[in-house]
Amino acid sequence: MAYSPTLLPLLIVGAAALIAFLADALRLGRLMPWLGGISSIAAAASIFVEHMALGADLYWDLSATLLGVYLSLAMAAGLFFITFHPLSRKMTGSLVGLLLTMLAGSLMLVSAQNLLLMFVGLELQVLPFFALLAWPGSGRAAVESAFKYAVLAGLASAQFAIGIALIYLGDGSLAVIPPMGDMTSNVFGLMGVLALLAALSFEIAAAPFHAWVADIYQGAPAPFLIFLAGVAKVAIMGALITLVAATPKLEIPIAVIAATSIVLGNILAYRAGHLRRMLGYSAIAHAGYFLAALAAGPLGIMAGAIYALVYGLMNIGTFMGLSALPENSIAIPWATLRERQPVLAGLLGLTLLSLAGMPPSIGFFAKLLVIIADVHDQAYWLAILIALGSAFSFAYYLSTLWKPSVLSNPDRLLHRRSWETFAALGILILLFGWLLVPLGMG
Amino acid sequence: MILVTVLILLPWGAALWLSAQKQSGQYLAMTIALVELLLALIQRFAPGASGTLGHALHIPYLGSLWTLHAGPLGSTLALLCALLIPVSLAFAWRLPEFRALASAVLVMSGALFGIFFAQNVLMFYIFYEILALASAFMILRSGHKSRAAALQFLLYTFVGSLLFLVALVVVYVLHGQQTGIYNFSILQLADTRITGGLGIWLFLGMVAGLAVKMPLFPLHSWAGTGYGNAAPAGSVFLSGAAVTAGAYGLIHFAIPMLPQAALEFAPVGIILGAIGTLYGAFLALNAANLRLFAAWASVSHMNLVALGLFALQTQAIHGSVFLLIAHGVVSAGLFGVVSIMESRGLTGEWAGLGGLFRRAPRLGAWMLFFFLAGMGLPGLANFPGEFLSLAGAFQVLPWAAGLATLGILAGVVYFLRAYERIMLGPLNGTLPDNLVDLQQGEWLLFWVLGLLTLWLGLDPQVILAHLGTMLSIHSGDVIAGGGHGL
Repeated sequence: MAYSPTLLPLLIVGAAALIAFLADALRLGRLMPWLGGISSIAAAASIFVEHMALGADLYWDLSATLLGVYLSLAMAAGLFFITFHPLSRKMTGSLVGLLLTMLAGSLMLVSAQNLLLMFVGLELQVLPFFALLAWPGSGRAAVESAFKYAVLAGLASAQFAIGIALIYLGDGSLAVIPPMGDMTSNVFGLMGVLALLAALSFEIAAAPFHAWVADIYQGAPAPFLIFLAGVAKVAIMGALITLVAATPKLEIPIAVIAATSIVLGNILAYRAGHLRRMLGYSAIAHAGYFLAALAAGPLGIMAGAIYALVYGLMNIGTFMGLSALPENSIAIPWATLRERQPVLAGLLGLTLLSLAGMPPSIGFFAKLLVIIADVHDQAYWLAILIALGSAFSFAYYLSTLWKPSVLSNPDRLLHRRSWETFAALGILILLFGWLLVPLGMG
Repeated sequence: MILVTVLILLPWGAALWLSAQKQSGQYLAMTIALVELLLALIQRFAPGASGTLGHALHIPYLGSLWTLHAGPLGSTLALLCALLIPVSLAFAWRLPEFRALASAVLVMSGALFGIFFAQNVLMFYIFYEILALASAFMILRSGHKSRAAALQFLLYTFVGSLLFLVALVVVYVLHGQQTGIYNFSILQLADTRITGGLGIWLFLGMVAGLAVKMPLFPLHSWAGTGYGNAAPAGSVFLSGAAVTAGAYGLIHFAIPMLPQAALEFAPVGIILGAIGTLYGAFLALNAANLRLFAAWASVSHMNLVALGLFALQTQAIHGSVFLLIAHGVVSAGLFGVVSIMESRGLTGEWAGLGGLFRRAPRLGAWMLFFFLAGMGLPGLANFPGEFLSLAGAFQVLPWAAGLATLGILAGVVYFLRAYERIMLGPLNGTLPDNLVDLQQGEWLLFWVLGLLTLWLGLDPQVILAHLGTMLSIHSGDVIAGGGHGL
């Protein structure tokens, strides 16, 4: 592939990743999060500049630009954030390298217009997590969850590969928008696209491909869940957006998956009774809301992109908050948290409300947009399902806010002054992020 | 614009400041409450402070999310709400949970002001949700601190209001498809053509969201657990002010948006209101304790309000708006009495009461006054409202109105019976010996509420005379022109 300007963000991130991997040997590891963060911001800037540029197999269209900029900035924020977390003390260079590799994969996923490139992106963003979830310093539960993730994600990748093979068998092209018709123009293509859909649904934990998610959320270290839930999943959502925009026939299976996810996710989350598991199960419901947007035609594509972005933001807020708590806490010790880190506690409370869809947080506006898209497409039943699902979700999100919980040893709470700044920024974004919409549309 | 913006945002700021404080902050909360009352008075009576006040926060396709419009009805209800803030705070003065309760009341009042001055339906919805969340917070943090009750309240209101949202979005999308203007302003949405079958479904969705707050008959069961578990001082505000949001939403938003469907729904609404009035009365008759008694009495009256609203007839709707305001004052008095009794260590269970009049004659006299007002005694606040809504409803659906009248009759029975159980009869041996009668501040509080009750009852024209202009032009057209005025 010859050089084309659309590759620039990937080159920046890739180069930074290589430097970061080398840095451990040169004992420069401590500097790497800052280098990684700055190069991510540079990548975001270059995506913004390349916006709408058509390159070889990479296309930064509107949704890809939106998500690409978001992913890079989220990665930068996450990198700055974990600098202050004890888990990043060991092998910092490699840690940053892995995370940047993951970002490169994610950027590839959202912008790829070629199935093979999409597959490479998927692998690039999945493989680093095998190591990250079991990073030295995290407990046994983390190793277990890393192993589960490895097995199941491997399965999903295999399915994705089979899907690509079937599509290629069908029309001899690897482009997402093949020269003749769409990918589903023959039976092999149809099977292939369904296989792709299953693989990607698996990665965003939509029902009935959701079984893994609660275990991973429970066991994995919270700082890395920032990246798993706030970056990797959003990138997969970006790939789904590309896929659905190219193949309108997918709307019916997607609507079915969306409905099952909303129903099942909410019920499971209500019965979870454990903070992390609840978040895992509610991620199923959120995958459902996202897919419900995709099932609603062209307007739904835009709504889906915005929902993915907002969902990522809310997850970053949640897991930044949870990073301060001990790993095995099953509820949030509000009293201690409010005393030690008041702003971070505020952020955590706000993200929980925002996840439930409480106005005027951005979570509400994202859901409103999805409902508008569904109503516009006359999928009234999906709109009502979203409404009932999110009304029901208040029950479990708010009970995490209400549940009295005491931390036996308050010193186990990580206490970082600098995290308060992140939290204040997060609160501003979550509460007033929707005010930026006119700027984007103007 | 600035006045109303301050009216909405000041209590929120105060609540935020209050929740960050260590001490309980009675004086700060009360100062803010009195400032709010003053602002609401200025807003209601100052010349030139009505009409559309201004736009801000314009979002493409959603309209201006901060569009303030002051109608006479909204301003009057805002005044009622502003009056009930200091009353509710004063009743809560000595409670240990004062801080949580005061911040909840302040957040609720800010949201209510937003509701009463919103022109944009989405803005209304946002404030409506905040109101629901703050009410749930109050149920959670005051009185019995029951999580189950708060959760039940929350599920009822949020399921309802999200259905309202879906119905609203359908109207919005239809309006956009018909005219090309995508905007949530009521002035736009009231101009949507909606064909029969769909309209009735949409109206049902809106009623689900708005009537649950009133609460209309089949959606009422949160009221028992909610009022029964919250501190009575909080219920003063919850039952007096917060419930008006649902009725206001129906008058100002739902009926103008879907006039045809409202007319078709009217008989069902009247019947539900009638059943609710009667059923609430029976629940009050059998209430297990004083809190529940006051709760079901309030539900019974609010169902009469709903009956008057759905009659969609000038007389009935005037009566129901009047009753809405009167109920706010009387219900505050009822829950105030309960609150005073609980502050004296009385549980409110019937078994522990009886003959109280001998120990606390002043409390007994005020209780009698508010019970008589609740019964609908002519000359006190509830009577003109009850009479007008029933008289109007008789012309639309006589037998249902008759049923509701039975509810009023039952009201006489349950109020008198409760009074007999509490105040009359032999002195209950379990009553503490040194029961304190009303003290100076409480005395004053009851005088304020009592004089207001008397004033509304003796001079109902003070509100009724303005009702022609109070109902917004849209709803006025619907009522006068049988729904074809748009």
